[in-house]
Formats: sequence, C-alpha cells, structure tokens
Amino acid sequence: MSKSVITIAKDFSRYPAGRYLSDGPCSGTKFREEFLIDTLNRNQHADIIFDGARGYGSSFLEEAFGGLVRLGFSKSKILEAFTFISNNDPTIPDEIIDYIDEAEEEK
Amino acid sequence: MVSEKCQFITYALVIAGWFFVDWRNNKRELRKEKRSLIDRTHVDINSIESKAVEYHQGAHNNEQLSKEIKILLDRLIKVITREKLISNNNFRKYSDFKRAITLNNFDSSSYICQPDNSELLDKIYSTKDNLVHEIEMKFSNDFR
Repeated sequence: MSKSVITIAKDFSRYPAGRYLSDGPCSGTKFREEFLIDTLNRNQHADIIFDGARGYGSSFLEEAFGGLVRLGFSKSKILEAFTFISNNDPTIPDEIIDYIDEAEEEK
Repeated sequence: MVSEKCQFITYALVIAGWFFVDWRNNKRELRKEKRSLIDRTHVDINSIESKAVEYHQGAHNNEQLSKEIKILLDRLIKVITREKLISNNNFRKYSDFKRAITLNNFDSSSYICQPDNSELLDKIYSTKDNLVHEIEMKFSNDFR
C-alpha cells in the first residue's frame, strides 16, 4: 500500500466550501471525487492535512467523508485508507468520524 | 535546646506562610487573567452567534459572511485549545456549535432564509449556550 499526503490548503483550496458541485468550485463533492475516491479505489493510504485552510464548514466535511459511505465505502476501509491530521483544530478528525458513523447508521 | 526548637518552628512557619501567600497571590492573578480571557472569548462566541443568525436570515447565501464565520470559528477553537478553556479535551460542545451553524443551509446554492422560529436558529442558540456553560464549568472547577 503506497502512501501519499493530501494537503487540502495546497492541493485543493484554502477556502473549501459547500456540499455539492452546484455550491461552488471547492465543494465537498469535488474534493471527494478528485482526491478521496481515487485513493480508495487504488487501495492506497493518504495522510490528509487540514491545517492551512481558512476554516471548514461542517457541510463540506460531511459531504466529503459521509458521502463516501453513501457511495458504498465502509467505515473500516475509509479509516484504513486515511489518516486525518489537524493540529490547529483538533476537533476535525472526530467530527469526520461522527459523519461517517451517522452516514452508516442512515444506510 | 528548647529555645532553638522554638526558633526553628518560627522560621518554618514564616517560610511556609510565605509560600502559602505567594501561591495564593499567583492563583488570584491567574484567575484574573483567565477570567479576562474567558470574557473576551464570550464576546467572540456572541459575535459568531450574531453573524450566524445574520447569515441564516439573510436574503441570499452571503459567501463573504460565511467565509468570515468559518475564520472566526477557526480562531475560536485555536484559543479554546491553546488556553485549555474546555476540560479533558472534550470538544463536543464546540463541535455542536460549529455544526449547528455550518452543517445545513450553509455555503449552499439552495440556501433558504430562516424564519425567527426556525429549528436551525434554535439549535444555534442552544449549542452556543452549552458551549458557554462548558467553558464556565471548567473555569469554576479550576478556580473554586
């Protein structure tokens, strides 16, 4: 399993915002499609670094990660594939796990 | 011999008294500093709440305001963690507040202006109160 690093502020946007593609150019859906699904399909591992962006709306995080569950990826596969690194805001990893759990419950 | 013992006890009491007064003064100063920081944090939290209500009751999806809210939330969590304003790294109350503001109807092309009695606004008010309470509880436990 090869390992990569996704620094959202550098590789995606300093201003991630919104849930759907129609919400703007840096939405959770776009991030999921461009970065997350590819990593999962290739059975790779990625460290996702959240520091550096100017804040994350919960709608962005929910759609990016909860959306993976709605697409059929299991919680264990997602957590195996990604390590969430957020030094500035330590609440982000737990928030993401909550969204994954809630999406699994809703399945 | 007896007078030497008395002298030793006197010195010991003076030193212990000095340490106690010094410790109490330090604690009082620390309490004052923390109180002032918490008061400023409450102002910041109130400001986020006001901006969030303004955003959700605006005529349209105000991208500038949403950006501002996210930046303010980001600053808030940095202060909360740096200054240990919440106990045992239990950030649930902060997350609930952030979620109430930014999970639904936020940065959304299908934005809907919320009426005064909307559930979303109620959630913002209640999670804000819970966050303030959590910070005050930590302060009260630390400086009881």
